[in-house]
Amino acid sequence: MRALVFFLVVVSVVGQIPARAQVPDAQSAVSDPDFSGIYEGAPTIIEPDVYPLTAEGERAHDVYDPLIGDPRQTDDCAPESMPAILWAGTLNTMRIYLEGDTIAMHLEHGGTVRSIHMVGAEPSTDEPHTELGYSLGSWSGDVLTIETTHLAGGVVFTNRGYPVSPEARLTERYWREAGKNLQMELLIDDPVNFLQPVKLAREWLWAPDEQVIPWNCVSLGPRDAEPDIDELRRLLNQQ
Amino acid sequence: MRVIRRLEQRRSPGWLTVSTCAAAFSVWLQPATAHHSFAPALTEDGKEVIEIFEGSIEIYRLLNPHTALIVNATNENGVVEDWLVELSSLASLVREGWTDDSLSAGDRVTMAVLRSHAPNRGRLRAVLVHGSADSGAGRLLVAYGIRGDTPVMRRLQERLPVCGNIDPRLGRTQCFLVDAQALLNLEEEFPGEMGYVMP
Repeated sequence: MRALVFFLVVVSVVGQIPARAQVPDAQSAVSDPDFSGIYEGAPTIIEPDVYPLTAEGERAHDVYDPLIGDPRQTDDCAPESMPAILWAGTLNTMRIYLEGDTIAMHLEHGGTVRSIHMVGAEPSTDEPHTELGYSLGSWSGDVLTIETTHLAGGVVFTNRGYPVSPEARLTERYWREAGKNLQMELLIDDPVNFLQPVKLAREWLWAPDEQVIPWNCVSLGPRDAEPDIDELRRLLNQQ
Repeated sequence: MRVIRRLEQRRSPGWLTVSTCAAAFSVWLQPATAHHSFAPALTEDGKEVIEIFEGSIEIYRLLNPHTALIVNATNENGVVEDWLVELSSLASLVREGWTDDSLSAGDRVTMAVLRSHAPNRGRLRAVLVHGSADSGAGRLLVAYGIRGDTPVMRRLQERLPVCGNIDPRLGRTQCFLVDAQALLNLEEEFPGEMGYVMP
């Protein structure tokens, strides 16, 4: 009898607890933050005082000459690679927006659009290696983490030869501390070139009154050659 | 410059305080380390060559990544040579106030160009757009190598009024009004070809 009463009490108490809807994944229970908007890269970039280069990394660094190794020396419109695109150009204006299941990062320089695939879109087994690589994003609380692999390789900065191999894994973290500015940390994990992961950081300043100016690139030809003025006349008169 | 304190002030999710303290970091101020996007011509003692020439602008186009000028320049032998002279990107220049009308085909100019090692090309350091009876005072536009808080920029700011159409906040270019008397004064005070814009 007592057991029956206890059972009935438990059932009545449990019955008062509001039912919770089934949540297929934790992220949809509470809305993810939205970093959509326009930002300007702050001029200060924090980087290691000394890059911990491997022997191969030192070799690649020592032979790098931006006037030869930078693809834009022969074609002004050659695409920038990750992570150099994060600080390419003078003003580094960037627009973040949602596009279906991806977060798009439109960097003004080069008219570059990075597609950040959110959870559930692993790269295919035959995913090609490209300048921007393949980026997979996820939320952890208010922090956006982006893992990028499948890079074609390049350098950390276009004008300095710290190399990045196709085997590198880049991890970016974005979060807000105060206001709407974004804090960014970049971890470069590249055992080919660095003895340990390399960390850089930058702030992206909220710039709602700014716009991302269409890039519409025009190449003026190889930079180490006498210009073909007749061809340039033809090209520039079309602009 | 050590910025360990700045990193410690950041809440860095998943980043250990111990490793933050142990690492040494430096700050790269991007504009201060802007690189040449071309190989400049150098003198025998390693200084960059600044070419001065008279001529006229044939074509001016605001472009990304490099704004372009085709200039018909008269060399020391009186022969007209065509030059490709580049400026900063459309994206940065328009933010400063440059427009399609900032320079015009047919403008008579005296130009100071940071010369490339490749022939007949370079980056614009300064251009004096000569005034006319119709247009009045000339304009002196300054760019590469002068931009920012440089001695040459300060020199010009102390002596010339600005055109008023360039926003100085980005600190990349500026436009100054130069009437005939002001030009004479500059040439007397700073002798030599475009001495007033030379380092």
